[in-house]
Amino acid sequence: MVESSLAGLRRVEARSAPLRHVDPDADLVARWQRGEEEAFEALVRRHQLRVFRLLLRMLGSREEAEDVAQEAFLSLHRHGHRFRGEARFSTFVYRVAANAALNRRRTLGRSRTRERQLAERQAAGTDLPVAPRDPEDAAVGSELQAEVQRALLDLPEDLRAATVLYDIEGVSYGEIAQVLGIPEGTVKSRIHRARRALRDRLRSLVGVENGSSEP
Amino acid sequence: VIHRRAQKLLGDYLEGDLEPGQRTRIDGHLDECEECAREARELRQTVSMLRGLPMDVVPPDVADAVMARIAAGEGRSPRWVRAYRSFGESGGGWALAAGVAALMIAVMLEPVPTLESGGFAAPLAGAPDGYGSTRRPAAFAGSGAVLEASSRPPRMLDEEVERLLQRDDSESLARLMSNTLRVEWAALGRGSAGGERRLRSVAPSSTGTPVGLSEGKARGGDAR
Repeated sequence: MVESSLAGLRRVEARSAPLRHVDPDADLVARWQRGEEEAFEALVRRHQLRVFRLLLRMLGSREEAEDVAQEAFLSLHRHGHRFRGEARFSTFVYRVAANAALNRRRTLGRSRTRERQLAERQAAGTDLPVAPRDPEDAAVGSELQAEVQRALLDLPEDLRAATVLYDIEGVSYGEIAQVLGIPEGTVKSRIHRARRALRDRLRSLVGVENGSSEP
Repeated sequence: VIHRRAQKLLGDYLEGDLEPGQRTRIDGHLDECEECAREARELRQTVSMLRGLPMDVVPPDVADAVMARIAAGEGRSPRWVRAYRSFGESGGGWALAAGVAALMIAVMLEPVPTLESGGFAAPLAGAPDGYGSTRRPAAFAGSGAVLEASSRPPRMLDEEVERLLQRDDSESLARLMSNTLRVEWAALGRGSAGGERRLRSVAPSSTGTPVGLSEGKARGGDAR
């Protein structure tokens, strides 16, 4: 009998919900809300990797992810006064970033020129989807990773956001519900639908992997 | 039955979210049902591939770029948004939204030919005030009364502005404000007689007959 749960695969440490009142960002947030710009900069440095990674998976392009990450942090700077500590600050940051990504998709959808330019850059290989800078990443399974990333981009946005946050970023159901503003039950069902859609899209690879990478 | 149930619970099963009893039943089913076993296997592999995407991507130095842009004056809301917000925090946002919404409602209630032709829902004959639609509140004595008569439109506008602020969707925000202003401007531009009639049309009728409707009919008659 194969292992019957994905529990072993979970990034448990990332999912274990911390005590509600312990937010590692609380000090910096308080200082920033008192007007210390240095505290805001420290917050950006602390969260920029996770935000960039989320956007990279959501948008599929480093250049776009970088653009949107900047916009997301600027937006955070504008609306920081709204954060009252009801959720963890990192959840708030994810929410702003996810909104920025969805917003960018809509804007991009309206701008055919930009879309064409992006497609041309990607076709020319100057803005490869998920082009890892780390040589090791590039060496190990980059083709498979590119295929998985393409499959992710084929998903409807609502499914993509849920599965990227859960399966890649290791965010808990509860936090995703807060980030996306939907009930936890909806989060679960979106994740499951996303996995099924990805499985269908990656069926050939799943077949190839059969028996070789059984978790 | 167990097959359908297993298919339904597979997501929770793979996450280890099932109670022990349910879990044992699904385990037993997977031992017997090749279809479900394959589904579980493929989903596990799919998740495994997702989790195989590199986590240690090298991010660009977003912080430097963001701080430079903030120093250059970005990262602050436009002045009118800040004004709206501070107005709202002092309790005035509601009144402002109500005022804008009152104007919009007044324009909606402007008697136009489409009222007769079904562009709006036709008034219910049995309704005492003739306003069958929730879009047409029963009585207005001016913008102040809108809050009491119908809190829905101002709240919707307020929520819309909040939603766009949350998304930082300045484009849609600008469009919303532009549309609002355009509607107001168009209403004001209909001439003094029309303007007066429009304002009168939102006042409650002492007879219970909506003034706006009777005028609309009169106007429809003129047009014909």
